[in-house]
Amino acid sequence: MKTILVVDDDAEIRRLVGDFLVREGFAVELAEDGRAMDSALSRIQPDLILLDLMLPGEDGLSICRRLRSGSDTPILMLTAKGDETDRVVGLEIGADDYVVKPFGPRELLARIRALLRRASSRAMPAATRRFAFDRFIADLDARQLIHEDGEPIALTSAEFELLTCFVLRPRRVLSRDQILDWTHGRNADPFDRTVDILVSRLRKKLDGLGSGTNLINTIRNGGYLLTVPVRQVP
Amino acid sequence: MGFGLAARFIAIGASVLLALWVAMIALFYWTNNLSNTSTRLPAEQLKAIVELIDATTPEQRPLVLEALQSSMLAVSLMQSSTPSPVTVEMRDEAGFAAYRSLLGARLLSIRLMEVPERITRPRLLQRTARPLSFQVRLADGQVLVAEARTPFIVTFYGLPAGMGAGLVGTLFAAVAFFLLHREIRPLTRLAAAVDAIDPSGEPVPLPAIRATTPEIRALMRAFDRLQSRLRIMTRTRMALIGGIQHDVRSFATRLRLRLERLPDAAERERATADITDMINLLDNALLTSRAGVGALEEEMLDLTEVLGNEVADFRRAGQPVVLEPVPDHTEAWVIGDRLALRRVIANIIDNAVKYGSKARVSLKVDHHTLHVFIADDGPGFSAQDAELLLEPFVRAEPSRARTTGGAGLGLAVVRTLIEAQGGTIQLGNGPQGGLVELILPRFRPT
Repeated sequence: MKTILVVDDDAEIRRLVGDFLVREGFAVELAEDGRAMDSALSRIQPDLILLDLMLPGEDGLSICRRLRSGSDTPILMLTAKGDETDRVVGLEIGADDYVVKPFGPRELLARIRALLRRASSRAMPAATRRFAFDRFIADLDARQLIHEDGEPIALTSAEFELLTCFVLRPRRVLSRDQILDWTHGRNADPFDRTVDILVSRLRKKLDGLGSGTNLINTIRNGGYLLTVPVRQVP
Repeated sequence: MGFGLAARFIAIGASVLLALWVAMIALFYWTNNLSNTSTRLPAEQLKAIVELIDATTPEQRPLVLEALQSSMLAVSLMQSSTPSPVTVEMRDEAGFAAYRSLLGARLLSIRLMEVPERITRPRLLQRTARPLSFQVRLADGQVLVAEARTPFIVTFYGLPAGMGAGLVGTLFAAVAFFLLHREIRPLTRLAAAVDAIDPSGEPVPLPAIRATTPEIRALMRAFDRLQSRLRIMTRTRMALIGGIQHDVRSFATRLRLRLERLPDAAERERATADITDMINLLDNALLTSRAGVGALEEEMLDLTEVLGNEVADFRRAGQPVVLEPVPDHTEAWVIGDRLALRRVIANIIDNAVKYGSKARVSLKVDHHTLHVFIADDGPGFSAQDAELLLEPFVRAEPSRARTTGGAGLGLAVVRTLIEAQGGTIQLGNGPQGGLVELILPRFRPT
């Protein structure tokens, strides 16, 4: 019998989903937040984790990243915002699939079965965090930027943080505020020009090494944008 | 600089009054020809003086001459005419014709006297302000010299009275204008900065204005506070929207899961559809609300791909929608919110199918803009409908039944969303029916 760990802060949803999965023949473990999930994981080894995106305390995104770094257990995200789904799966978070609330039980069951099948048929490849874009490869674990000809490009820690923001969110317009949030944490000064300075330094370092186009564009009253596609590489 | 706006206005008022006053004086002088009459001894008076002295015995002449002296007139007798090289001869000028006709050949000369001091004067005043010297031959061969001066209208510097006041007034006006201009110029910069305030975007740095009036400084601070209040309001609103979205979806999830227990399958289907509609409505409203404060999640999208996906969705559902082929070499990049753009396109295609029986979608790529055309076979839009339909809660077809569409929010939402992405929407008529055109700014990576 497969075991499913359901992590959701809404008690009713937890109970309803749990009851349904039990009826469908699964063993079910319930947790209301990250801490409860951790204690459940110390007792059992679930075959799949059903994880809500918005949780009190440590949120679903951060939990997902944490789980990903330590195990291959399939993760099915439950998201409440229709427009966030694109980003939940794949590069940014590392969840295997997602269901948008409100979901029907049939839909949920189909997704769970598909994920379990996939997990048992082949060992999940270890999630790498190497991303290729233009003529560069960014290795987020080694914290290194490598040119396709093998030459490493020397970046400062802050520049690499900034590059990580862009690589994880290609072709998205990132405001200075967001970039500050993701790199340095909240900065009190809204007129902080650190980001602009960092961007221009990063541009200078990538300049001439890429295929010619300006990789990071400035968008009128919006922010910055990485204009090339990014793909995950082994 | 502690000058308040009030002080500045008083300064301006005073300088305007001064300028008016100077103008009045100048006008008075001008219309009454005062500058001329006081320097130019009237011709009749000169003739009378000449005749009087002619008729006077030589013993009594000094007495008569003494009687004629005044601050404006100096009369003396000479034995003969004395031409002086430094004076200017005026006798033959047109302005002195009256003297010539009255005195005839006896008038020897009319001379403009040199000014004793070496002071440059305004060109217009050079002649009127200088004394004139008239020389007339008497019957006995002596020469009468009459010098006419202008003691009261000529100031110490040879300027008519009022000129100095005018100068002071003009100076006041100039200073006031300069000070006011210094205050006004930053105001226009402030206005531009306030115009650029975007409640959800980056805070706009208000112009740094140094040495300014307290009132303007207060205004700047007020705008700064307004800006931060707007930002807080937007953030609160976004948090509220996020909260509503999360909570309503949680409730809907519970409801949806509970529905599984409903024994009647048909009833269960309908209830499920209701929940889906409800969530769609909520999503539309929240999306519009986000677009209204400019809080869309923008990214670089290929419009060709977005259109292709939407049309494919409609075709999968069996709807008569075609996408006319787009030349595949053109890149149709646009900076927009994927969800908002999809809603816009889906909404217009849906309307076209609903009211115009089928939809033909095409894309035209211009240098700076992208044009999406959605044509149908319906009745099209009349000119007044076209504007009205973009207002909330107006529909071309008067029935409010759910089966033919929502609450009429459709095109108003579309308009808000498209405008939030820097685009425009136009309703018009094509060769076969209605034609909706979306115009979006094209993005070109540099």
